[in-house]
Order: sequence, then structure tokens, then C-alpha cells
Amino acid sequence: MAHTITLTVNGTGYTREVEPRLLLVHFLREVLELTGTHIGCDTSQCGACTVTMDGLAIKSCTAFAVQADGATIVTIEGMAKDGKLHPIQEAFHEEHGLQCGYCTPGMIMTLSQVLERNPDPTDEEIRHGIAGNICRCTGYENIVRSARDAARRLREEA
Amino acid sequence: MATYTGQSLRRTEDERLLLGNGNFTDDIVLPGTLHAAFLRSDRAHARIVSIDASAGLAIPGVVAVMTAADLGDVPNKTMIVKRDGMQEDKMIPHPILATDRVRYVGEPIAIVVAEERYLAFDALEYIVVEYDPLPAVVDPRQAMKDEVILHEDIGTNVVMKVLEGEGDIEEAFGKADHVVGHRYDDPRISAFPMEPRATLASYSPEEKRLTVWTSSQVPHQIKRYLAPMLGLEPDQVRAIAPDVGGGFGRKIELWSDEVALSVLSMKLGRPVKWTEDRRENLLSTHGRAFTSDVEAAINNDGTILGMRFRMIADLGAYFYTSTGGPLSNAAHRVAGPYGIPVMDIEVLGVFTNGPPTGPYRGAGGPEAALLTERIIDVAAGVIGMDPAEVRRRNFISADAFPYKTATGYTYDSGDYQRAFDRALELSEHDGWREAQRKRGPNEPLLGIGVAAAVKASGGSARTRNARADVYVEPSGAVKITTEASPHGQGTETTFAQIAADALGVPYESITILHSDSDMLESGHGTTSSRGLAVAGSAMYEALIQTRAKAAAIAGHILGCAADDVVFEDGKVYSASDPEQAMAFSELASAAYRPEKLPEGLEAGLDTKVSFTLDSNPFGFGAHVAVVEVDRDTGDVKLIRYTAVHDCGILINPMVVEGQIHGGLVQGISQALYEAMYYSPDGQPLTASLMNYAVPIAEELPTLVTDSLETPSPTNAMGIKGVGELPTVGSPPAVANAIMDALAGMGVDNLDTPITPERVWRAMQAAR
Repeated sequence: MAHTITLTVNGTGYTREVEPRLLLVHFLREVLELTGTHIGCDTSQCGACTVTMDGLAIKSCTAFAVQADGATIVTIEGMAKDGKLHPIQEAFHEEHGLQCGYCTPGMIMTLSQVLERNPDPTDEEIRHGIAGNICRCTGYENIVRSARDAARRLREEA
Repeated sequence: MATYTGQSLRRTEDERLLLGNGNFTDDIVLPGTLHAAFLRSDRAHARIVSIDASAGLAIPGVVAVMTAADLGDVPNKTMIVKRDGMQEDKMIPHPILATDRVRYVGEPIAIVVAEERYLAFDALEYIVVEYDPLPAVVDPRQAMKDEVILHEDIGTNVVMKVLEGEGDIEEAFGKADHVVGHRYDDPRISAFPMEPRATLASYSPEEKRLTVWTSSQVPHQIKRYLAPMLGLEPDQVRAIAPDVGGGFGRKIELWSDEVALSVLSMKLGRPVKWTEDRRENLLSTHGRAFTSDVEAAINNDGTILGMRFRMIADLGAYFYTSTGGPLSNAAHRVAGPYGIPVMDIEVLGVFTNGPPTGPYRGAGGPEAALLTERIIDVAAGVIGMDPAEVRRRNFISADAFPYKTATGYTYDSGDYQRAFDRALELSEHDGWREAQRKRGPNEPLLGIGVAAAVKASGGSARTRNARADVYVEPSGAVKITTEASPHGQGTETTFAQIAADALGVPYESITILHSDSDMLESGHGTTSSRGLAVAGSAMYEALIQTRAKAAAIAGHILGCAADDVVFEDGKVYSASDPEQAMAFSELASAAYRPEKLPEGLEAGLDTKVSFTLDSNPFGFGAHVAVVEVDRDTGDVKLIRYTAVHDCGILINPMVVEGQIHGGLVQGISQALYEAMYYSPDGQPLTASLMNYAVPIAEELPTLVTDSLETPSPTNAMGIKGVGELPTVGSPPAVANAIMDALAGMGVDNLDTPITPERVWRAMQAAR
């Protein structure tokens, strides 16, 4: 029953045999041991498991590993480069955008897509952009501030 | 002297979490780990006739199925801490696994252990439980009639009674210009930490030692409770709370899984891991769950003469460790920030066919404030006075502290009037009132709600004790072990700020260690807003003792008196002759060399303290909510939220503000969205995010906050806890705003969560 899949995760190529029913999030967490991607619900709503697949933010709890065959995936572990935090990560640190840190990887991965599509979003656009990600600690206030600050950092970098 | 205290230092905790390098329980991989899954009752109340696990066990890769019959010598019960109002003969603990009866949907019956996670889930489908159904009762008022009794041997569902108060309430009611009354339901809600619970138990037969990683706020307690249950000595058990993804009070129990997985690991000689899914989390335990009648006596000048409360708490089917806690808390906390002379309170605790309840952020405080703050608005309406003005006329004045309430609390300090007025100003309260008067008939209804709240920090006398170790290494590096067990509070950062200032050393030289029972003999963890107030105060005491010894050594070396020694910028010098100086690291090194020490002083620079905070500090919060209500659909939009808090001296204003934001939104959400609904026969109707509403960013406005600092005289740092405080006042502020918007529509009352449907139905009924 096992299927062989080949994919790129955070720039590294992997070929693995997987059960067809294996969820992508479990593949990332348990097969590749990339445990930065979290699971927070059973119904595809909390967004803690968000990664990007071929440039699109997806909920990895709602994709099978076999669907990622041939795909390029980026997880939270792939965001920092050369020991330097990604500008979104820097912004979360600077603006206290995280408390327990459990939703944070998914928030950052979602925001990477939101800010790519809209480099200078309003607060309303930020709030709409993270509508698929739930945080229970921050009341979202500092996540919105972080996103705003991240957008500024990314624009300055561009 | 304070270099770091009061600064918004960015958090030490952030980097690992931002990089995806956090270490949550489910992230931990031990060789040979088995995966566990629970078979849970799908009945609210039933006898178990039989359990047949044979087909599940036959699946290749399934290692074991454990039921209550396999527990052996381990007593089939979790742990209860007796609270006010509990009676020994009615303290029925939650079982580890159900034996012959289940009493709520979600109650654990059996555990499957398999080589792989998915195999364990597969096996659950093949275990057959035959039930003999029993009638269920989920409404606590119905349960009080004892027509369906959960535990026949005690003969009643009413198992707790708390009485509190002072003065003659009938006399107060008799002489008042008005007496108003209402019933308010405050339903079950989920704490909903983003990381559900998880447990990994690993017994080493060689070391005869059990290690339990658990997503808990109280690892030291888990160790203390587990060891005797398992027939182990305390030092044979180690409990670790690694990174924990939120708790909010619902990770302070000894859970049946912690016991069951330990038993399994000891039997099988392999690590066993279980990670809760969201459905299990939503069905395992809830907060709030009160239904109450409240009456208030008020004079036309706004003076509140007295209040009567008849509260009923839905305990669920059993007691977990802290289930009984919110009842007496609520009885004390109904006083709020007001000088109400007469209070008469009864709180009953009732078993129902629901999961056990317990403290959730605020722990009786929000339950109490919802009643006091909502009835004040009703009373204000009756006398025709602005609700803000009624509050101002009843606040305890700033010169009245320490103030003893008619509910048995002694408030340490505060300036409620000033903080409240600041909130009115910051929110542009009067401007909104003006805007409300100008609203046209085709615009949405506008409502303004205020609330004021007080919250104790530190918990009971039992939890006001804490241990702390300060160890200055010979290099000058400082390692501090606290019994606080943080899960988002930023304790590694804020405690290091305090320590760096106390020893006059760079912030970077401090390491804060926590959440491992091998590091400290005991501890109560992070609960009850005690992290900084109690565990932090214990650390501060240890730091002061460390500094005193260091000063004696420095004085000896520098040739000055100990009280002349100054600690600053990593240096130690004589205040009267600053030329006489040495690096802190030199001093630390000298402290371990007996020849450098004054006579009679033992070598070493480490201090262990067990510290007790004699009394609780009380923080204050003032809230102003502004809402718009759609006249046609009943949709409520929170358009502005302002809160001013006084939690004493701020160690890190950024971290405090973050706590306030999160606390406010949990309370706002309680008012607008959240409730666990059950059918009358006990089936859950809100077992996933498909129908349990946790707010998303789009539903919330920008939060406007400010802080005042009234130092607490209860502790050396002048601090008060802030973790729970914001959650106390925000539900009634939002509820009051909605009722204010509906004033004149003939809507008598709406219970939380005040959903568009409830508003729409009420408006239709009133037409």
C-alpha cells in the first residue's frame, strides 16, 4: 500500500515511502522530524499547521503526504536564513507577537503569503489575511502590529 | 539602580519558538515510543455491561489495551484538593478509567497502545462496549432535584455549599429605594489552549525511575500526586513541563492520562505518548458553568446598600484536583471594587452528566463580576443614573486601604476612581454618549458598557508559598530555579530582569530554569496569578539573601562595611570609596574560596528559600466597550475597547500589555461567542471549531490600553499579578454595552454569549 513520494522541504530533497492516508502534517512532524509545524484542531480551522506548498499557504492537516509528491514545501524551519531571523520572525520578536508560541509558526507562514500578495496592508487587511489562524494568547493585537512591522521590514529589504 | 525593571525588554523565549525549535510534549521523540489513544464514552450516562477489546488487540502493531481491570494495585482515582464548601463524604474523584458506569460523553474507558499513532486510532474502532443507557441530567437546576442521581451512594447531586457575607440583607432590602433582581446564566466554555494536552511517560526499569513530560501548568504537583498512586517514592518520579502551548487554568489537574500512561510505561518498559486532539480537549473539561440569581438594593442617589447572590455551579460528573475551587472564589469576588456594606451569598455545587469543570482564567472572578457588574447596570437604569456614575459613587476610596470587604477579602491597595476615570477619558466615554444621543433611526444601535473588576493574585494560603534557588556560579553567571511553570507569560525574561537588577549584573548573565521537578523539591506552578506575585517574590527573597552574603564577602575583600557595598553594572564597589571595586565575577569566584571569606562564613554563593507571601495583592481593571447592533439582524460589532489596569509596579510593560490584550479578548469572546452546548440527554453539540466559536482577528477591534501603578504593600517589589485580571471585567463590559444599545427596545435580559441570534430573537419578542 505504500506510495513513494519525492518532494523538497526547506530546500532539501526527500524521497520516502508513505501510507496513502498519512497526513502531510504528520509526515513533516514524524517522518522528517520537523516539529515546528503544529496541530491545534481536527477541522482545518486553527491554522497552526500552516506551511507553504509551491508558494501557497496550506493547512498541512488537510493534505495527504501523497498530495505533496513533487511539491516544494517551506515550513517554519525554512524561514530563517544563515542564522538570521526572517523579517516576519524579527517583527514578531520586536512587537511581542507571540506568547506561548504554539500558533506562531502557522501565523508566520500565513503572513508570508499575505505580505507577498499585499506588501503594504491595512490593519483590516491583515486581520482578514489571518482569518484562518487562531491565537488564544495575544488577542491578535500584537500579531497585527507584528504583521505591520514585518511588512515595513520586507518593503525596506526589497 | 533599576536598569532593567520597568523596561520592555524583548523576550528571551522568542527565538526558539520563532524558529520552530520549541519543544512541546508531542515534539519529544524517545526511541521505542508507543502511541496511546483513548476509547471514550459516547454516552452521557450508562452502565457498562461489557468491553470486548479482542478484535482491537488482534490488529498487528497493537501492543496492549488497558481497561480499569488492568490497573492492578493502582487506585482508580485521580486527586482532589479539598476546597471551602466541600464535604469529605461527597468528594467523588474522577476515575482513571471507567469501571461499570460512565457519567459524561468523553469519559475515558480504555486505552489502546500501538507501535504507530494511526494503528492506535484504528484499534479504537474495533473495541466493542455494550452499554445499558441511563437517563442523563445536564442542567444543574434540574440535577438539584435529584431525580437522576449520578453517584447513588451519596444520595444527592448537591455536593458543595459555600456561604459568605456580612450584615442583614433583609434589612438592606427593606430600607432601599429600589431592589432589582435577575437570573444570569454563565455557560460552560472551553479554555481552548492552542496546544491541547499531551503526556509522554517513560519508565526506566534500570533506574527504577519514571519521567513524565506533560503539557501542564503544575509539573511539581503532578510528581507529588503521581508517586504514591504508582507505589513509587517521590524521588522515583520526575515530571517535566516542556514548552506548553497555553493553559489558562485548565492544565492544573492531575489527569487520568498522566496516571494511565505511567502505569502502561511501567508495565511495558517502553515510553508511551498520548496527544489530545481538539475534540477530546473540548470535551475534557470546562470553565465557568454557573447559573445565578442576583438582587441588589440601591437608593436613588446611587448608593448600593446590599446584594444577595444565589449561585449554582455545574461541577460536572466528578471532581478533578481543582474542580471545587471557583465556588468560594466567586463568593469572595462578588464584592468587586465597591464598598457594599451588606452581602449575602450562597454557592451550591452540583454534579451533572458533563465533564468536570474547574478554574478558567479568573477562576470565579469572571463568574462573580458578571453578576455584580450586570446588576449594577440594571439598578442604574431603574434610578436613571449613568452606570459609570453609579460605579464612581460606590468605589472603595483610595484612602480606605487595607479594606475589608463584606465577603471576607482584605484588599491591599488601589486607586479605583483614578483608574476608572482614566478609562472613561481614554475611551472618550462622554463623546460616545453624545454620539449615542445623536444616532438616527436608520443607523445601527450604539451601546456603551463599562465594568470595573478586582482580582487577587497568589491564590490561597497553600499556594502563597513558593521555593526558589539562586546559584551564582564561580564565573559570575547566575542560575535561578523558580517553581513558576510558564506557558506564554514571559517568565524567563521578566524574572531575569528582576535578578539582574538585584545583583547589579548584566541581564545576559542570568538564566531562569523552571518546570522540571528534579530542579526543586516542590512547587505549585503557574496558576492563580501567582507566577510573579508568589514565585517571583520567592526569587526576590533569595536574591536579597544572596546579595547580603555577597556584600559581606565584598566588604571583607574591599575593606568596607557590608552595607556600604554597591552592586552595579557587573561591578561591586564601596559607596564611600568607589575606587575600592571589583568585578562581580571576581566576587563570585572569591565566594567559593574559603581563604577569601570573612570568619564564620561558609563558602559558596547559592541560596535556597521557601517563601510565603502573607496576603494577596489585588489588581484592578476598568473597562469601556462600545458596540453597534444591527437593528435588522441583531449582529453585534465591537467597535472600540478600552481598558486601564493597575497591577502595581510593572516589571516589563510590553509583557504586561500582552497579558492584558489576551485576557481582554478571552473575556470579550465569552460575552459574544463562546458556549459549550449539550442536548438535554447530554450529547455535546459543540465538539469542534465547526461549532465552538473562538474569535478570529477580524472580529476584534484595536484594543486601547493603559496602566496605572499603585504599588502593593504586600510584597517587596510592589507588584500584583496580571494574568487573570483582564478577563474578569471584559465579559460584563461587553454585555452591558449590548444591553445599553438595546435600552428602550423592551429587551429585559440576554445571557452570554450574546449572539446575533439571541439579540434578534429578543428584539422580535419585544416588538
